[in-house]
Amino acid sequence: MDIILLVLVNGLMIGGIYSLMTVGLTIIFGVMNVVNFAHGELLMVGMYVTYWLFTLLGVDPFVSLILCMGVLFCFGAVMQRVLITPLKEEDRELGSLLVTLGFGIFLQSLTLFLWKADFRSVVTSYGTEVIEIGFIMIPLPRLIAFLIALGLSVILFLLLKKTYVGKAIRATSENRETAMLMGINVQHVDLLAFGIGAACVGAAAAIITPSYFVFPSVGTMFGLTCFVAVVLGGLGSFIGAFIAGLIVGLAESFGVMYVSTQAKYLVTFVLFITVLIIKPAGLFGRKM
Amino acid sequence: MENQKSSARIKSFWKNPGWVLLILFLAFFPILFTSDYHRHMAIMILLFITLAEAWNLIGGYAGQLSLGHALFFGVGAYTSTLLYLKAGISPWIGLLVGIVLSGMLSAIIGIASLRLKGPYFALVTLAFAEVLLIITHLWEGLTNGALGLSIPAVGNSLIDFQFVEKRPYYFIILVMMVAVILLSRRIESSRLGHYLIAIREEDTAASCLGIDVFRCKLKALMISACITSMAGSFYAQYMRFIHPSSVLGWEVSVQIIMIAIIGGSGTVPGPVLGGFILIPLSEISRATLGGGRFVGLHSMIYGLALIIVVMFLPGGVIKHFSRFSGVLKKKFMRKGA
Repeated sequence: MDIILLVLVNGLMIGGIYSLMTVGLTIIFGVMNVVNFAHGELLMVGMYVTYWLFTLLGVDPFVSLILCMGVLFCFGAVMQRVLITPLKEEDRELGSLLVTLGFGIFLQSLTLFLWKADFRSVVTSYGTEVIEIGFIMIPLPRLIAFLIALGLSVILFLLLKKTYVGKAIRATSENRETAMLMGINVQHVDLLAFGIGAACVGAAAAIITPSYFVFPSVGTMFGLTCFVAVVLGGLGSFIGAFIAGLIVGLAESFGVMYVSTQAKYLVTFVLFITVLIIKPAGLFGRKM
Repeated sequence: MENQKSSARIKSFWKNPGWVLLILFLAFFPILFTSDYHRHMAIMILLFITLAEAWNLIGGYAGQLSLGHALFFGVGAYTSTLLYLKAGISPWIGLLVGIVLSGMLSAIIGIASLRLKGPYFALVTLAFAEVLLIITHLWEGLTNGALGLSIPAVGNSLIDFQFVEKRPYYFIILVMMVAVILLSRRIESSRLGHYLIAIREEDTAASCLGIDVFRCKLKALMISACITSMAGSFYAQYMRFIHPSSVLGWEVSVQIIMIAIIGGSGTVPGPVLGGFILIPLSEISRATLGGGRFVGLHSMIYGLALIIVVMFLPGGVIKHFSRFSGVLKKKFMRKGA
């Protein structure tokens, strides 16, 4: 029983991070129909930003969160303008996939070139602290990361629900042409959506840096996991993406516990394939 | 009637000076170049052209981006190798078994994902490839895990698909490549080829015209998977050593896609050109820029090349190449007249 609880808590901790990243991916996909294959590499960029801020300037990762989000927002917005906008409308779907794929490879090898394949880590004073609740021990940085991820997701939902900008984003992802007719500047929405999506990843990057190593290919598996989660949640559904992120985290955690450490992604992918065969619209998908 | 038509098509292939020159050059290549290094590079070029042509059927003509072709490559490589090592079955039979397995696997993938619109197919192929990669890592009793499998040398033996020299391998892969190119040309001008292009351009319209969109895509995927698997078995026999990420890794899938897209997907000569550009580029840059200070530079070029081709040279190098040669032809014709 205790073990199950432990696995559950562990799964939720990492699931919260996946959720935040997946929501970012969903905003980008929902608005532009672009599957951002460089999503994992954006995480890697964010982690290096956090790492260098810490190493050179001594900024605590949880403080550099805001800065990292800002940097990634700009990064995402530029990416949208330079890589996605010039693509022709009719081959946007396939083209954007290939372009972001190429950009991801480029980013990953650029960091490999600049900083080699070394595993770097941020050592903080609280890095090894553990919170005990009954039998369950939770590493402090992970708990903070989870709470921040949760908080940011809630803020993002409120933003999307309540503000004018949020409504414009939702309207555009619902129906682009109609949104345009309603006087929404969809070009701005595209830019904003890509920026917000990347900023979500930036936040995720900053808060996981205290508990993970930083190296050039760190983002690959995170990215793949996000694709799985985004499909599980039903492409384009924000709430679905959030819940699917948590589910994927749990699946991974149970996989590690009951199958083997190396099998953690196996469970995720098998879950993905099963859901796709049984219910292709995703667990929380609207309509196909 | 059908037979006559197809033989006419094949004749037109042999009448095309470009193809004939290419194949003549390739046939005499081992005489011109005798060093193992050049022959190895030539074998890799032909192998990857075969793979890219296969990918092109589903990714180029049908416009369904498969991100997991390493899956079929790996199934081919592991099937023939395991059957040979564990049961002593000739790799040639293993190659056929691999083709059947890959065909079945591709049918499952196709049924699961080809009915859906959007990026599902790309993600499902990717997921399947990752699953098989992880399984081969984990199932150490069968696959020897990450350490990989090596095939012991037995000297020249046709039945064991093993040769001391590189030349026999070269001619085997040359025959495979020419066969796949002929098949691609045949499919391109067949009803299936036209259906696939219609599906790529506008699948709703295609299905309104009475095309069974799903079945056509499935057919293309299955043919593509079978060819890829065949090439996988060849690779295993040629290298005599395979490990999970060398045949099932993400890099293999990306390499295949790059060759097809950069060369020019949706055409027969595109992947051929892509193979001749990218494989020497990657072999040379890996040799000169590979280690030390320049680690990563080679894939940086790759990533950039993909972006540039998709953004600025849609249709791949071949399209602009043929435009260029068209301009030349016109000039010469004018001079002649």
